[in-house]
Amino acid sequence: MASAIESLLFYLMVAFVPYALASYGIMISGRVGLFNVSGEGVMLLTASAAFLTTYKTGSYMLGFMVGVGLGALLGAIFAFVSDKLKINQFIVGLTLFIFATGLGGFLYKVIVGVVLVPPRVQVLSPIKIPVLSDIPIIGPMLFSQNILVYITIILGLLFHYILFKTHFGLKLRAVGDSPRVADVLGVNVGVMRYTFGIIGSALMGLAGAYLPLCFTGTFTETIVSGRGWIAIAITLFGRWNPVPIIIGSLVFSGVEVLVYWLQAQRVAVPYQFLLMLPFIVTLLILIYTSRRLEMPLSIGKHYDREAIEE
Amino acid sequence: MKTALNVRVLLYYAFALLVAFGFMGTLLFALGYSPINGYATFFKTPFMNLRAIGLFLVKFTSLYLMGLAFAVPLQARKFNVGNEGQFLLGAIGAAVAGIYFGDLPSFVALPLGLIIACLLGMLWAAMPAFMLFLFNVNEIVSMILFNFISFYLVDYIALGSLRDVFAGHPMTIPVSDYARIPTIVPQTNINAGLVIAIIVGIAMYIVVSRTTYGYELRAAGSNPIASEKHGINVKLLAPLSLIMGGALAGLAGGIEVLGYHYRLIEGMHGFYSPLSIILTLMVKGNPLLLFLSTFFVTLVDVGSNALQRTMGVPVEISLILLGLLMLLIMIAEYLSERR
Repeated sequence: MASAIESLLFYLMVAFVPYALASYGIMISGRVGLFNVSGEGVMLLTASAAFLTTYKTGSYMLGFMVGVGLGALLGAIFAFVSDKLKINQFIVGLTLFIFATGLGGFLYKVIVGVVLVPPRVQVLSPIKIPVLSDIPIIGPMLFSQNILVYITIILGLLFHYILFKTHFGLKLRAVGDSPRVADVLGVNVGVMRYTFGIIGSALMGLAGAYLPLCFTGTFTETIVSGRGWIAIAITLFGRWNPVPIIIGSLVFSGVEVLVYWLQAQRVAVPYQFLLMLPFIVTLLILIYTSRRLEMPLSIGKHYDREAIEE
Repeated sequence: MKTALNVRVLLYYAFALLVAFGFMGTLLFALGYSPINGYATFFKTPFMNLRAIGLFLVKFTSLYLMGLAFAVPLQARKFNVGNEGQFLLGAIGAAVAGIYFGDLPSFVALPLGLIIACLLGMLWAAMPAFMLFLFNVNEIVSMILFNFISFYLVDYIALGSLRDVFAGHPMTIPVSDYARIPTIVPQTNINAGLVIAIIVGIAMYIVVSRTTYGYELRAAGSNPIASEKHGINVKLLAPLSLIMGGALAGLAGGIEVLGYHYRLIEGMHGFYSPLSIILTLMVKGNPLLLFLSTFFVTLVDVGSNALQRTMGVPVEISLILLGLLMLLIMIAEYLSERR
């Protein structure tokens, strides 16, 4: 029993990473006024490209770099089309979602083809932290994980520090809340939007690359299965703040592990209804969140420095 | 901000098309396929023979109604990305009704099937619409979540008590003959669903551009604050338009089941939702221009499927091509408005 709990808690952290990374990406883009809903597509494309890279070259580093790079590229396109061309951000996001989803599936089929047994890569092995990893139950959960688990937690705390404890963070938040004020204070709104639009999408790319390289070991067209959309709900739940986003991500990886556990227990509920559970929980969380919803004030709006103040 | 349809705009659009198809040819070439064969397959197969035209029109019907389901709420600046789930709910409704009410005479069974399809599509849209109305929950996220739930619902029904045990793929047993939509051209799949879609399309055009409701919808979309001040209930209009979209997508699912597959098949929605989003955005949701863009996108969809069958090019090329085209159109519009 103890080892069962140990393994469930271990997977809680493994499943936590993609939610958290994707949510950070949405959060940091939103903090500069860009609402990027293309995450699901970005993750599918980067999952596919990263898997193929690692499968062909054997290098995990290269796989992650391809994932992050492609994410960054899509983020640059998103920032350019929505900011420069002043197109509705939801329209740009949906278009990129469709484009990236197509490209992700396409690349895999072109390179691997339709095969009976899909190729696999070894998932990235855990790094054991001496002594601490020997603690029962929380040892394997927190101190014997792949490197991305550690990075994700540190990144969240780092974002919290930058956003709320530094002068730069104040400027960054100003761009999302009131670009005019930021502009008057000498912040280059355009540069900020591009930089963090790109970083945000690169984080989604990292989340996508993580899925085959650290989680499943293989690529399927359903590998992302809604995580990119659920991440938007997590970000809203966390009110665009890193620490609550970590908590929200843990809730969702908890639901994921719970569904897995319930299936293993052979409960008398058809498996389809178990698999619906994460989405139903997300809907309930969206309703709960709506009562005290907070958004960066200028999110989704174009900033035109020559326009007359309304 | 109606863009005047002048030569300049047309030129930009033509250029966007050229670049997108040029990219497709380059991609085919880079992957070692013959681009010439590719283009030929792409544009010829859909019209090769009467059977092919029939299949083309079946897809046209579904894509047009799906586009309409996205277009109506778009007038109020709402994005009905849930049309995928609404389509599937319509398909479920039509299949189940077509099996259980199959003993009834055709003039009852068939309309009943289609009405149940519409109602289930509406119900599926109504839930996120209520969440929008009551709690101001972003409709894009909630509707996508409902899509995922609908996939599992289809799986449950296609593998449940109505399962066709002789089929390898999850699907239900066929609907009764009485519930089927009659074909209008013998020896093809061309069925009366196409006629229904055209009539509904024209009706929607009139609703959107000639009625008070349509006017209020467009006003709510273009300037919600001013509309509110002039007594338009913006808060109520947007959710209602989503529910209307749900009925249209449900109808699409119903027609595809009762007019073509005659059963519920898992995965029958294919790329309908992403394709319908692009084809609607291309013409900014105008129900009449939608006929034109649906024709084009159906061509891309059928052409891509033919490319996969004959040359082994993955069918996802349709999404790449159209996604790229949409981005190019955005750039083209920016350039043409800037002068």
